[in-house]
Amino acid sequence: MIGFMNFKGSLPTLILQNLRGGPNHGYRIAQDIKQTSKGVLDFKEGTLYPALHGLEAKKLITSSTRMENGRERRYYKLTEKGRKTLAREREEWLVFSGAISGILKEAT
Amino acid sequence: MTLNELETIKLETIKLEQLTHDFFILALVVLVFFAYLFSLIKNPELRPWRRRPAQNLAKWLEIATGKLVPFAQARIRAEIEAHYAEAVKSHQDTGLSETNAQAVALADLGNAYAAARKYRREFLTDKESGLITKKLNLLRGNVPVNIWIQRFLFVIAIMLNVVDLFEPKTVQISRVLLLGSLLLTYFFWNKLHRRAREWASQKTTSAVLGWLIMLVGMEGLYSATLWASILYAPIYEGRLSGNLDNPAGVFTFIINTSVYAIVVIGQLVVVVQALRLRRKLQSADAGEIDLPPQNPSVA
Repeated sequence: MIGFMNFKGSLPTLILQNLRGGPNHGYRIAQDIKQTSKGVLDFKEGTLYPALHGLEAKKLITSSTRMENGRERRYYKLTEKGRKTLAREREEWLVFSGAISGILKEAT
Repeated sequence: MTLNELETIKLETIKLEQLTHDFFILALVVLVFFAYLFSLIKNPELRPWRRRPAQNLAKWLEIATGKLVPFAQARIRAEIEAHYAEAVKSHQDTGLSETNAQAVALADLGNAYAAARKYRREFLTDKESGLITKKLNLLRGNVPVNIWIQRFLFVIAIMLNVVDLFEPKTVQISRVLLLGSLLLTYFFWNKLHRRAREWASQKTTSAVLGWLIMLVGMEGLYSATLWASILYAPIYEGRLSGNLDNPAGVFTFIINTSVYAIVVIGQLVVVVQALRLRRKLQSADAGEIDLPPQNPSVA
């Protein structure tokens, strides 16, 4: 599992990336992130919702409710602004991680 | 009157000034201590020794959403309950018993107190909602007394600073800047408040919220400047450095510096809280805020 401090700031970007595939609800988003990272990125699921609301407040995602098995489920969807933000953050991250990887490879 | 008598009067005046400063600082320390004690009595969950982990989902939700407005509570509860039910089912599918599946699902949600802190950052709290209702009532012209208190404090702040400014000693640049900021923020706050009152009596919910957002930001700034101006004189004035030659002087220096630091942090907290409320209002749904009835007589 990766250190909490290293992962904390990346959660909103990972949520945006997850929603790129289409609308999704909180539980599925959490499981997708954990499974895709093969358990490396683990986080407390109760803190996922404040992050989702923060993204909604910034108008990067929108939400709507649906009834599923007699229970109300809130689905989140990426907005156009969110799509642009994700593209920018992905680009920045790739440049940044490429630079770090380069330095670390050189050191070994 | 002889020169000696004049010197004695001067020394007595300085002693009296020092005594006033010491009394003021002591009163402030006592006030901060009792405020903390009161908050512990009023909110048992703030007591560090009372923070036990939640034993079930109902308790988890109570801790995590307890201080939020009903609108936010209902939204989070619905989401977390759906999340928890699916997590329990998923763990049961892997062969866990119902009790174990519930325990794992609850542990996966994490610490309820940490979640509560994050929720309070994102959603309107009961306290903030009450504050908004008060402000809206004020805008509708129902409780004008708060405005007169703010204006009275403004006069006090000006008097405290101007009197010291004309004393025959070096003019402190920080004090001049503080006074300038106070006059400027008061001007904008007052102007904005008048306009907001006119609008609040006539316009729709979204227009009222728009004015409220501006007003909350401006008030935070004005309030911080106002209290900085009021507290500047008694705390900072000539006492911050203290006399470090003896233990009593060192003690005074530590106390004064600590109190001054608390005041500065307090001002920052006021500004941060106002900015946070402003951000929350910007993303708030109209249903989250209990708007009081309009009062057309104000316009």
